[in-house]
Amino acid sequence: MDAVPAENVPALVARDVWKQYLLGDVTVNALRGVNLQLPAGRFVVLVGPSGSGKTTMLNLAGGLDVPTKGELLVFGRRLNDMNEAQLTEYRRREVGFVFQMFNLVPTLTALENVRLVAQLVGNDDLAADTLAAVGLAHVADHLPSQLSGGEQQRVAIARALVKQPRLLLADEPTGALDVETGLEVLGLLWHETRKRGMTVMMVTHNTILARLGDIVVRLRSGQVIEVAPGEAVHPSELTF
Amino acid sequence: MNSPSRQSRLYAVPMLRRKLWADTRALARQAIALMILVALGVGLYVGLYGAYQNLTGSYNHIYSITHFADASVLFDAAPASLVDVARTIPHVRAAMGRVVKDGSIIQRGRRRERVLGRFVGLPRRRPPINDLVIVEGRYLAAAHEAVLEHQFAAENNYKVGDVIKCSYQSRERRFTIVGLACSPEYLYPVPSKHVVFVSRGTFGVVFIDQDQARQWFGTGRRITEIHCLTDPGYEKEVLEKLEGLAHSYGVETSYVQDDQPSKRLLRLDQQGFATMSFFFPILFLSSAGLSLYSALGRIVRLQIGIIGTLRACGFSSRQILTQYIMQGLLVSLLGAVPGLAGGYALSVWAASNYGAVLRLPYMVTSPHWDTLSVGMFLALVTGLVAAYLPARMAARLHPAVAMRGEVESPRRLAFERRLVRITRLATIAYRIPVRGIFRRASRTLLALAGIVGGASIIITTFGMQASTMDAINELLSGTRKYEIDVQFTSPRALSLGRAIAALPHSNAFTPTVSVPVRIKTGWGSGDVVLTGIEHGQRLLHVHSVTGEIIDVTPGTVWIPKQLAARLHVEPGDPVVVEWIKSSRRHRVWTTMRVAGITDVAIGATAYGEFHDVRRSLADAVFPQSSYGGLVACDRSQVPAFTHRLERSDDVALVSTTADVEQEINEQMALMFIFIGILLSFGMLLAGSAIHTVASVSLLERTRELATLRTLGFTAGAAAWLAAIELCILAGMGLLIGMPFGVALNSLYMSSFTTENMSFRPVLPWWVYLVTVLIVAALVALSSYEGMRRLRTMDLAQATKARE
Ligand SMILES: Nc1ncnc2c1ncn2[C@@H]1O[C@H](COP(=O)(O)OP(=O)(O)OP(=O)(O)O)[C@@H](O)[C@H]1O
Ligand SMILES: [Mg+2]
Repeated sequence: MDAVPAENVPALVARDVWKQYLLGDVTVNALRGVNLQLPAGRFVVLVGPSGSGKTTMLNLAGGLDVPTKGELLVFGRRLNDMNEAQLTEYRRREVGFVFQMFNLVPTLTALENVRLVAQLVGNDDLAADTLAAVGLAHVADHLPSQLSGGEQQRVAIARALVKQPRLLLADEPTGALDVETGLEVLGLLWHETRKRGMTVMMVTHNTILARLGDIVVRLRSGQVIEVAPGEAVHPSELTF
Repeated sequence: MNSPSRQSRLYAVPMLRRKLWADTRALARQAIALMILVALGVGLYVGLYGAYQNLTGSYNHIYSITHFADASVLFDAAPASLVDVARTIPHVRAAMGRVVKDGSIIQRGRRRERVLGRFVGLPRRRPPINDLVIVEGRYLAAAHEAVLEHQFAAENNYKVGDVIKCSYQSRERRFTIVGLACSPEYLYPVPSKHVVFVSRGTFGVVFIDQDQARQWFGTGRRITEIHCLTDPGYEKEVLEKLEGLAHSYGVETSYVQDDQPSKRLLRLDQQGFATMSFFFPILFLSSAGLSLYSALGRIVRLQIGIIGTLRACGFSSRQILTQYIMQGLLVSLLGAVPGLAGGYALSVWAASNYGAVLRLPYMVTSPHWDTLSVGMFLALVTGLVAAYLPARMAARLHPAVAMRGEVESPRRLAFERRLVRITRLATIAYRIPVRGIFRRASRTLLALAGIVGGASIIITTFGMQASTMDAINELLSGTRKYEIDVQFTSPRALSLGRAIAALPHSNAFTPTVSVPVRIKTGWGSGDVVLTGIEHGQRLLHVHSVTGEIIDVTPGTVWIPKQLAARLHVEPGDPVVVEWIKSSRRHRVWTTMRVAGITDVAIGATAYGEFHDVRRSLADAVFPQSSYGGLVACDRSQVPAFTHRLERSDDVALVSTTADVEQEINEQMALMFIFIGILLSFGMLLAGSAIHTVASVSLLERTRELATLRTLGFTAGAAAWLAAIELCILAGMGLLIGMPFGVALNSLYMSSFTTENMSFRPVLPWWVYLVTVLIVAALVALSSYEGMRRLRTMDLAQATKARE
């Protein structure tokens, strides 16, 4: 697959993807036949009401979970029939995650949190530079508890970037931050991923932040109801 | 893309190891507590088992350099030429005959003026079997010289050069002490297997020249003992042949080395060490494992979000598993190292102290690498086993689910809803404690196991204490209504009885006669001491199994219950009562009817009527029987009476109830330490189980409880909810633990039953009460601690707390 030029392969293809959860005797349909094709190298924003299946969609794309039904390809690789070891390998190589709760290891410093993941993929030498790129070189030795929320999220972004994944998944990355800090962090995410040519899938509730997207995917009740070109506003132009 | 070697991955991520250390450091207080438990477990194992090995090594060293006999037979008297016959028994490597007699040592001016003496005749050249270790002075070289057993010498302050006065059948001899020695036969000085309590310094062994001994005893060329060294593994076989040889000379007793009275008593003690060396470590390590398990479980639950993140980043489940297992191993390793060091020190210290009590001339203390390795292994296994389940839970967390944080199993919820409906706990608030119990079934079960274990240890310990005190009370106050037990040198001295009874401050005197006998039925035979007491006497209260105080009548015998069970006799059955050294040529026996069965915890004695025992057995075998009496007098007059009696030439030996009491109290001191340790351990186990539940239910639900508080519940109400959970658990634990403890107690006490001892498993009501109170106190303590934490909780922090 490395032989195929990346730009010709869509970042994500979903064909009639279903995700069901069993809650006792009740079946919950988190996704109900999602069809979606996303080109590589774009900043995709997922929006939709609570419970519409946004997180589920990200989890599937990131290989945290597999679809119950349907076909899911990321950069041409079928995720459906991967076993746990293959999924782990896939996550390690291809995806970076940024979460609403920053989920840093509380007992490791900022730099160590980045190196933890960097060493996993053999990019240890990039760790310090990546942390510098998110503007945190000066707090490299601070523990998460000594960092502000925005700084913690920037460490989390550095941790995702340092792997140099092709796909970066962000689930409400600014949800725990105030508006200004959120904007700042988002701008950073936008710049750094664009610089590296990464494909981004970001979930947000914020309609203003959604304007950033090249593509906006709208979900409702587990289905994609609209895929529209976004406003592709430059982060510096985002205002309230 | 093929998946790379997963094992190497962990080492490829040094930062993961940093996390391991950092996490361990962050939990410093808990980790240290766990390490201490592991260290205690490992230390006690290495210490106690090492002490056992050191002692065994030291004893064996002495046994080997002195050529301790492998098989011995003791009899009335036989020609010296019998030894030559013994030498021809197959597998006998060496044989030696000896003449040995018991008498008294007379020591004016010392605390006890007349004590039991054993006089052992030895050749001029060092004996080839049962040699001595001379600890001071030298070996025998002349007829008037003696070597004295050194523990007795130390207790009674005898020095080399002193003169010791000995009496055998009123014939006195003086010997000059030329040496003090340790004998393999008396490492623990005890005269025979019938004797359970020997007061310190009241039994002296005097080694004298054998020609001198023969002349003194009037035995001519005859011997009373044969000792053999055998080829390894043939001890029993040789012993049987020896018994056959000596049969016609009236065998008193015979034993292989392992059954030699002193070695046997030492072995009981050693077994104590060995048992403790397994018992304590198992308890400590299992509670270390339990705590480690719950601590790691808690860590994993707290780190669920991080685990999810790491998995999302591409860490494999194997790496997560290894991470948490390493955490367990790290803690147990850090605990094991000081544990091993401390344990080694303990093994040397304990063995040396114990050896010092016995005044062992040699102490072999070396590091036992096998034991140290086992200790290390035990610690690591504990860490591994305890960490495995939480680690597996962490590894198996579904990454997508882990990202969501807390996990609640829907099925469990359904079950618990049904339970709530049954118990009609209408208030929603009260569902919280009930849900807490079902939230994690495995944790609840472990906590329950901890409380059950703790409660049953507490019950067993108190039961042991109660049974022992019961036995001692019976011995000292239930049975003995006299102050002094006197033995005369001959039956003629019995006439002294009337004079003793007439002395000022004397209350009563009753004569006794004792003769070692073998009681036989169709089922077998048993050796006991038969004591004749007067009909209607009131100084010795022996209880029968049916509870009343026995009285003796001519022609009947009361038999101790251990023996009665073995011989399958019941009241009314006839039994043959035969002098123990009966031989073909000199058989002394009678038949008696079983009057009843006695219930005595310590010691094994049969009772008959005084004149009857004299007439049918004792008078015929004198001087192998002993005559004496029991004296009741004012307590304050005991020392004066004792000295007065000891000065009389008609008196062979005086022993007082006060001496026995003192000896028992000395031995009890050790027992109380043991009980104290056990008790605190039981409390520790139950306490840590309860505390774990308490702190986990608080920690895990900080948010939940804080939210309750913000909703208007008081801190007390919120803590009360947590306390209810504890009470339910403690109640269940007690319900299971108490019957379990009762069963364990009777099992434990019955393991102490020997020929000479049988404890009743006594469990007075207060034992149950105290157990409940202790558990209740632990619950209250934990709840109070929780309440305090809740009250001082920063609500704003706690409501969003999410490490
Ligand atoms: N593990 C699960 N078990 C059962 N139901 C689940 C599970 N995960 C998600 N769901 C259900 O699937 C649906 C979609 O959930 P999802 O988390 O994808 O929503 P979302 O769009 O991210 O919502 P939000 O904006 O509130 O985060 C919801 O109805 C949710 O209840
Ligand atoms: Mg969501």
